[in-house]
Amino acid sequence: MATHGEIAIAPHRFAYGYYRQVWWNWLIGTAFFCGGLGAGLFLVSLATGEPVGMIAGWLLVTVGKNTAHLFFLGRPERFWRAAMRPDRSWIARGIWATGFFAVAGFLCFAPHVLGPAWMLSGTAGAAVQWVAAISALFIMFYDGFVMNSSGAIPFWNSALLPLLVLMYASLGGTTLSLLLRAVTGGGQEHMAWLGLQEKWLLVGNAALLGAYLYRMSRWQPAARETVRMLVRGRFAWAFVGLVLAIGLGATLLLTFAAERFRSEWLLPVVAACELTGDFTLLIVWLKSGLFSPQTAPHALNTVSKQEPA
Amino acid sequence: MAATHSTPIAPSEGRWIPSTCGMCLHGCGIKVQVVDGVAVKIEGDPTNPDNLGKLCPKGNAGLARLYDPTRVLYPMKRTNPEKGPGVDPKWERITWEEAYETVARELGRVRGEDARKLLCAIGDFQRILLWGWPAVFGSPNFFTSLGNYCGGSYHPVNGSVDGSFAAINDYEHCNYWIQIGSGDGFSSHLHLSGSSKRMADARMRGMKVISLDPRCSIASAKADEWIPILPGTDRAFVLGMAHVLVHELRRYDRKFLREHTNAPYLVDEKGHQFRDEQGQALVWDLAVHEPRPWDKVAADGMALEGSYHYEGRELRTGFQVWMDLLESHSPEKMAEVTTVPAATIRRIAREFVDAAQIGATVEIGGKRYPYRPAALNYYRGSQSHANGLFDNLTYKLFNMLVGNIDVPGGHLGVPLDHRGFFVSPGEDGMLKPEPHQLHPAPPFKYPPDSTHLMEWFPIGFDAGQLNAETILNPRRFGLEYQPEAMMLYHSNPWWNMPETNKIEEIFRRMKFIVAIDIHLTESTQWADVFLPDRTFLESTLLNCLEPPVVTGHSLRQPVVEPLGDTRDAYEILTELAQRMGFLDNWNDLLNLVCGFTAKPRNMLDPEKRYSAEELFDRFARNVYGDDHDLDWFREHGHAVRHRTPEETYMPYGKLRIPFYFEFIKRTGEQLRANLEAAGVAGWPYENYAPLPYWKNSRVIEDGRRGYDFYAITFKEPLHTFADTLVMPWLSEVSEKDPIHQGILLNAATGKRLGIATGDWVRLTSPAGSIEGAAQCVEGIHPQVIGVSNAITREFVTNSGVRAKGSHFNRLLAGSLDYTDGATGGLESSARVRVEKVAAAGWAH
Amino acid sequence: MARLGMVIDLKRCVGCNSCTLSCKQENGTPAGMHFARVVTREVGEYPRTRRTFLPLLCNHCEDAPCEKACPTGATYIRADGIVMVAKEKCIGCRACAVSCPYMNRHFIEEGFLGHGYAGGELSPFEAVKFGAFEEGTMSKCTLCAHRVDEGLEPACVTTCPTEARIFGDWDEPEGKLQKLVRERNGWTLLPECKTRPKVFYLDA
Ligand SMILES: Nc1nc2c(c(=O)[nH]1)N[C@H]1C(S)=C(S)[C@@H](COP(=O)(O)OP(=O)(O)OC[C@H]3O[C@@H](n4cnc5c(=O)[nH]c(N)nc54)[C@H](O)[C@@H]3O)O[C@H]1N2
Ligand SMILES: Nc1nc2c(c(=O)[nH]1)N[C@H]1C(S)=C(S)[C@@H](COP(=O)(O)OP(=O)(O)OC[C@H]3O[C@@H](n4cnc5c(=O)[nH]c(N)nc54)[C@H](O)[C@@H]3O)O[C@H]1N2
Ligand code: SF4
Ligand code: SF4
Ligand code: SF4
Ligand code: SF4
Ligand code: SF4
Ligand SMILES: [Mo]
Repeated sequence: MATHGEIAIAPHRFAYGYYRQVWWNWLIGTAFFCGGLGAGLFLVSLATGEPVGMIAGWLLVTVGKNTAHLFFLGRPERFWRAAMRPDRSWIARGIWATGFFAVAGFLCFAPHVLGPAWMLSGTAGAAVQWVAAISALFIMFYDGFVMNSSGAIPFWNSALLPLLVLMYASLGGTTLSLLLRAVTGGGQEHMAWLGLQEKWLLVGNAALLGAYLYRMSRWQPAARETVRMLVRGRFAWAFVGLVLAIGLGATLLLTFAAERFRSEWLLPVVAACELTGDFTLLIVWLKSGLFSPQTAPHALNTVSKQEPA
Repeated sequence: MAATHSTPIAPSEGRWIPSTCGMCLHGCGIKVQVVDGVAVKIEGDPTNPDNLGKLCPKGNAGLARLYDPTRVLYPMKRTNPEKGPGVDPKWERITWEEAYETVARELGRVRGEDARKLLCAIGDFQRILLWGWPAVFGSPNFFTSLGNYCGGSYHPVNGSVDGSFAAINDYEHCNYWIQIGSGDGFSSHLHLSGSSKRMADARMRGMKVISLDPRCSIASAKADEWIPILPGTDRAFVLGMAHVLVHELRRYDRKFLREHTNAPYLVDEKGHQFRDEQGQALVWDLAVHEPRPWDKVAADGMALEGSYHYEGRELRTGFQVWMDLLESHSPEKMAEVTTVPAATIRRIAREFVDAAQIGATVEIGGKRYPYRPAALNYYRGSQSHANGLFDNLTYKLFNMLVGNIDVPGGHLGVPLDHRGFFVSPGEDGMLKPEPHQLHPAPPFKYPPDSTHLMEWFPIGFDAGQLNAETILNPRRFGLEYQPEAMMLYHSNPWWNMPETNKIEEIFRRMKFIVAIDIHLTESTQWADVFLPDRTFLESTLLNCLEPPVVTGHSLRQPVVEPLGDTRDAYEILTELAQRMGFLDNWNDLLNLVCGFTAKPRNMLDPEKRYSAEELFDRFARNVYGDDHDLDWFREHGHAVRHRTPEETYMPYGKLRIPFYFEFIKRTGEQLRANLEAAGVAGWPYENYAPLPYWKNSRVIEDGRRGYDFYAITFKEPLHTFADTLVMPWLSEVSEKDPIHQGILLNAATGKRLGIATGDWVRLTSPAGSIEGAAQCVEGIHPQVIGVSNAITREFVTNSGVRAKGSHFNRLLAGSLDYTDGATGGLESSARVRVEKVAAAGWAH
Repeated sequence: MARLGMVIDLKRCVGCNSCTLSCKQENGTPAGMHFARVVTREVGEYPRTRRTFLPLLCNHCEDAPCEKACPTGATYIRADGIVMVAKEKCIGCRACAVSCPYMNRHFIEEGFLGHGYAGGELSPFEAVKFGAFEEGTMSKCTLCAHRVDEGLEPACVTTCPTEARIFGDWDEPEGKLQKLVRERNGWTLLPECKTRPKVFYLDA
């Protein structure tokens, strides 16, 4: 087990090497996924006045995201405490945002479900819509800050991460919105530019991922090791296969196909592919996170000062 | 039962009780925090100058031993007559009455027929006062390799040189420390806790450490230089250095050798001391150029070197004899044996003699002493071999060359206990050799009484491994009887002895086995009756065992109510003695070993029974006076103090210590006469030599038979032997260190053999074979395989611990060929073949 | 006010794991959990090889990311610089664990406190000591605050056979910590993380 050359993944905390991120599991991934997707869908739907999308997005966030979080917590009954430190914790800020979103978001589509009685007057209505929109936007990118705020995991430690999750949230939102329209037959007038946005987001995300990995492959060893695991290592099947090939590649091709042949029945497949990539990305980003090995800055200074025996 | 605390327990809560650690034999001072009857913390006793408040990891795990859920807490009997590994004894709880009744009946019967038919395995060093029980029962048999796997040759030589039991270099003054096959100050041997501190301090003040070890032990890892060496060849390395000192550099402490040793005494052609009519040993008087009695010539007037013709006799000084022997031990020759380059042998020899500052003196406590701040320290690894006597003599003589024996900075004797060095005048103005310190030297007897032939080892330790040799072929040595019963007390002979299969066969032959223990082990699983002892946190005794720099007793006392229904081993043995009708002899023996006979008013009444408290209360008063009774100890915890310079340095005073070990030669000649008269053929006398030299051991010869690797075992700080392996607190940590994860082999060797970490490998020696997962490391000699004690257990009851089952001892041979003929010391390394059985993952 | 911390002298340390075990008994941590631990590592190639030992514990960072990341304030820093977890406020979100570059956060999973070491029921010792923990919450090295508050040194320091662990106050310019680090230019782990550890190391 000579440790010169390749640094290994440490099997336990008594061993030297990279430590794997074991704390945040698929539940956190699901929460992030539902949060970004829901907020994204809500925003797109709000912008295009599409109540079904707003409701669906709102449910994804308030029910989906929050349930996942509660299931994850060691002490769910105390969840409210998580709102205590918005001054420094992105999680706390997220809680507040989710809170605002729950109320404002609801008021935005309330008239459509509970009747005109819930319709708010001009300025108030506008205010509520702004609050809902901003909190939704916040929910779409704050996960990125939750992850990159700690310097502990070099691979997460990038200003691109919030942008990346924001872009994926938008992409997911757009995809779902398209699907809903296809299913409900409503809001057809926006299909065209949503489709265009979808394509651009796919291309944009691909570019962003490229940039992200490029920067990380020039960052600290732990980050480089993660890149290696994603591109060639134990997570390649998920990242290259599901995130890149299916999530971006296949999605893009099928989107073109769907339009070219006016075959809307393809949209569910498009959505399935894109959401798979979206979800996998978050899971894989969590799972592939590595902590740096701990050793003397001038590592091998501890090797013998002896003459060869 | 203590209420659960919702916050950590503050040190100020409950009370702290002073006591003594029992996790290994040495007994550091501890204090135990007890809250509402539960022991919650053990700490080193800062008032105890031995360990200065520090504890090794085992000491820190003491509570896990006390509260071990797999401890045996009630007397039990087996209900399944069938015995053997893997066979469930179907234990059934019984009353103490039934237990005592059964044991007294069964052993009583044996005693009635022939008391020698009882085999005893006693390993409780801290209760060494009880070791004589088998003797009063009537059996001389010692069925364990305890003490002999390590000190078989070591203790007799220390006792012969300066009346000590063990030895250590002077932590306080040494500047150049050669460590050969020992964990002293780093991982094992003497009083680890305090020694670690003393070693660290010495290194911090600039002391240089050179470590010779086939593997990168902790000592080697921390040393200024690690010199990997082939097992069993260390003596060759040191003989090579001695050659450099006497033949190349011609630098050695002539003054010391002349004044304090018998090196100048004349030796005749037959190797006997040359004496005059009065039997006085003679030296060569440089003034008158003829032999004169040693006490008639001033030291500087004696010849140290030289051969002399005198009245047709060929005479040489003892020193000259060794010089002549060393002639042939050039570094180049020794390099071939050890694989250590000749240049390294020369360099270390020079560094050593430079550091020794021959001629320098120092004043300590108002007294002047020679000052020799360079010394060679060694223990089990480097001398627990078939020529262990030669190994030990070599290391002592090498130290003597620079005159560092028991002087500041040098190589210091460590007494067995509070009684200090056994120093008394012998012949020729020399110190009387004390090779036997645990029991009187057994007189020769044929046919032998003991199954381990102790009567044939007049200067040896008890050669437990020879039990197999004699019991399994009794005719060979004329053993007249077959053992039938066994007593196991704080010992796991099934684990600790060589040639496990033969040991197992002996277990199988036993009609009755009683165990006094706290755990079910490979050995105690064979018992018919199990008598649960109390742990060190529930019992009483006074302990003082081979303390390196201190002296005085430390009290072990119960800190909590004993768990379950257990009894103190002393009281168990006493009860049995009474039931079998030898309480009187038992008490008489205790009177002797406790030193009560010297102060009759403390003597035990042969007819009376005494509790452990009563016994040790007398013991305390007997040693320290009536104002130091057991209550005094209960309050103060210990009477441990630093040894004074007078107690430490030059204990031999004006008496000379042996350089030329004639008494060993003579003892051998006497034994030969006895054995030949008895018609015993083929006994190895060769090692009864007055001076050591290099010769291949049987192990090295085995290499010629295709066993091209060496296998060794080793201890590390986390475990006491493999016993503490049953403790999850310790195992869960040792399991995480690669050196305890499998059979160690050098990475390059692994590549060559196509063996990678995790592959399943088989080691085969002339004696047996074991299997295990390979662990490739850089820190081991390419020709050596290492097997940590941590992977040697084959049966453990604790569900939190998996038995590893690569039991090293299966590789060792216990026969006479692998035993030092003079000391009975066993060979603890083996030659092996290595083969890959299955690739990683495919291993069962 | 004091800034308590430690200097670990790698030259003295022999990797014995006494610190690991004394922390184990002092804090009665459940199976597999070690606030104090030693990373044993082989470096170099035969015969120029060594086993190196790196004792670890919480660094009680000045700019503790675990504390910044904690949304509830359960993780807090005492006036004397000790980084603590108030288990009754902890919700078990593990944000602190993700933020600690040194793997010094220890999560008490559901069921950890239900069984003793050997898998069976709690020993009297465990029954007493497990009370200091709460399932579903985060736990960590407290620098033995309960000992320090009574004027004692941490358990791992008191027991260390080689005195490789030196406890003290960084606010004393002439104190042993400052002195040692000055004389033997001490260093900290992962300086790039800018956590400003209060545990320093001295070269072997
Ligand atoms: N921690 C701990 N301390 C103990 C004990 C324990 O079990 N654990 N047991 C106590 C007892 S009874 C004893 S006997 C002592 C033993 O104390 P030590 O003799 O110090 O212990 P070992 O580890 O058996 O052997 C020391 C070293 O010898 C090396 N070695 C093996 N073969 C050879 C060889 O042929 N040549 C050389 N140069 N080195 C070799 C091993 O790799 C090991 O590093 O420790 C006592 N103290
Ligand atoms: N492979 C290998 N073999 C070796 C060694 C090695 O290093 N490797 N070392 C050799 C050496 S140097 C020696 S000295 C021997 C030692 O070998 P042993 O004498 O067998 O070792 P111990 O640990 O003294 O004995 C272990 C037994 O003591 C019991 N025990 C523990 N505490 C108590 C107690 O308080 N009361 C009672 N009644 N029993 C208790 C344990 O349950 C266990 O059954 O082994 C030798 N054999
Ligand atoms: S050295 Fe032996 S007696 Fe001392 S603490 Fe360690 S185990 Fe206990
Ligand atoms: S107790 Fe001390 S010497 Fe032992 S490993 Fe810990 S720091 Fe190192
Ligand atoms: S070491 Fe980790 S747990 Fe300790 S203070 Fe620093 S960040 Fe927090
Ligand atoms: S797990 Fe507890 S201590 Fe850690 S961040 Fe969450 S609330 Fe704070
Ligand atoms: S300071 Fe206390 S809690 Fe922290 S590692 Fe040391 S012993 Fe454990
Ligand atoms: Mo031993």
